[in-house]
Amino acid sequence: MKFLFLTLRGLPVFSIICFIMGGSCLHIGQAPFLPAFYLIPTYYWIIFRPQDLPLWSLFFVGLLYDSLMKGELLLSSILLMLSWVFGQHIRPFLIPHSFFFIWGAFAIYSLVYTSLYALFVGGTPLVMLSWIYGVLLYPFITWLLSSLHLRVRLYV
Amino acid sequence: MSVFRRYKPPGPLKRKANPYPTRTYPFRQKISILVFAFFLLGGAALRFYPSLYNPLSSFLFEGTASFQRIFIYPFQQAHTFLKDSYTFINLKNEHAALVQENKDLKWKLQVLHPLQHENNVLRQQLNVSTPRPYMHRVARIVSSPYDGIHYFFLIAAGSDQGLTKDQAVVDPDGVLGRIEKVGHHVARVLLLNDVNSRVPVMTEGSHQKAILAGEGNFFPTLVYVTDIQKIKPGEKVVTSGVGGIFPPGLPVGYINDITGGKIHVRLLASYKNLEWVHILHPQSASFLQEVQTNLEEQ
Repeated sequence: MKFLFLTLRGLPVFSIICFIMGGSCLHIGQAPFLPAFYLIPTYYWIIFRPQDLPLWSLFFVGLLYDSLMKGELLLSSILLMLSWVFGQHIRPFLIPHSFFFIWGAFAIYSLVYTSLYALFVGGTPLVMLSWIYGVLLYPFITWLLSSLHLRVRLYV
Repeated sequence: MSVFRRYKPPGPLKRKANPYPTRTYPFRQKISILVFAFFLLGGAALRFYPSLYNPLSSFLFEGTASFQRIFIYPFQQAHTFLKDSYTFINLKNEHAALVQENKDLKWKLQVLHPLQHENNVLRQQLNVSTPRPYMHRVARIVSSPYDGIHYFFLIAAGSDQGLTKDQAVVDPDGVLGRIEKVGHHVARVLLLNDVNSRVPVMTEGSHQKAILAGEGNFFPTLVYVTDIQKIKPGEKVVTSGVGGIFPPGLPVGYINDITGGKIHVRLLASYKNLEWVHILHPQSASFLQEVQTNLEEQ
């Protein structure tokens, strides 16, 4: 039973890894889906279920992303961990508000994240296109994640 | 018996207590800050020790690439199945196209054979050394992760298959890039349009040597050109052989345009729909000797 409990609690991290793995191969022309694409589940779980997304797990998620994307190791880890720390302070203000407010907050968060990422990696403006995709896809992905969230909540 | 039931909206879900609470649960905020500081300091310290950083980076690369290979596998199989189905449906047309292509290639061979003979004779008369022949090794592309900054492929071959760093990677159309990182069963190919890519090239018509520099878009530029005035749009760009990674004369692309002193090159190799790549590696002297003795014996 404890194994099932731990597996269900690991679903948030697993969903982020799946978004990284799947999103890395998605692009329309020169416009990539990453990095903003995997920020959607990260943001969702930080805001709605931070207890199942521990800080150390984001460190390893960042390492995985950097090693897959040929980036400087630890950059994404630091950015993700900072997101988590900020998220803890901001989530009490977000949760009572409407979906559009949370969506707007995601737009700001992902813009800051992708800008910082592009700045440190020396990226081209193409990275910012991923931000547009991320903001546009947010409602659909959130709908999927909330279904998963409700099911997890029934058991854990 | 009622047919329709009245819809009852579900009540708010009750927060369930953690059935496996830990002693540290009340202090999780403070512990999180400590964990953050620990990982930050540990990571920064690690970054300044290349002897620790490089093996960790290699280990992570190998692990992540293998994980992605497993993740991508079902999608790859589905793609292959769809492609095979399409080929099977269009078998007749494909056969006709291949017959035509075969005929064209035979005609080209008839022209090339006398040229090759002439080339050999001239080389002998001028005492020009014969370039070292290159062998091909074929590898399947695992995936091409892309985040708008880096352009690279992951291929399903590594040091166990004899690959080493800086080997040239080509396809039948032209040069694709070079091997940048090698794991045991996987390797990373740096493409020509990546910002870190630099390849010595020359223009075929005006014989201008230059460096092809990736700019993070589909049109890399020529830098360090001897005489920019001599280069014309539409000219073919080939590898110059300087540096020893790429053999000379491999097709790279065409001069697309010259705007504001920048020479943009349109690459010949198309990165779309690529499944297999060829890795060039020079034949070793012992292997050539072995082939020579075998031929002599025959």
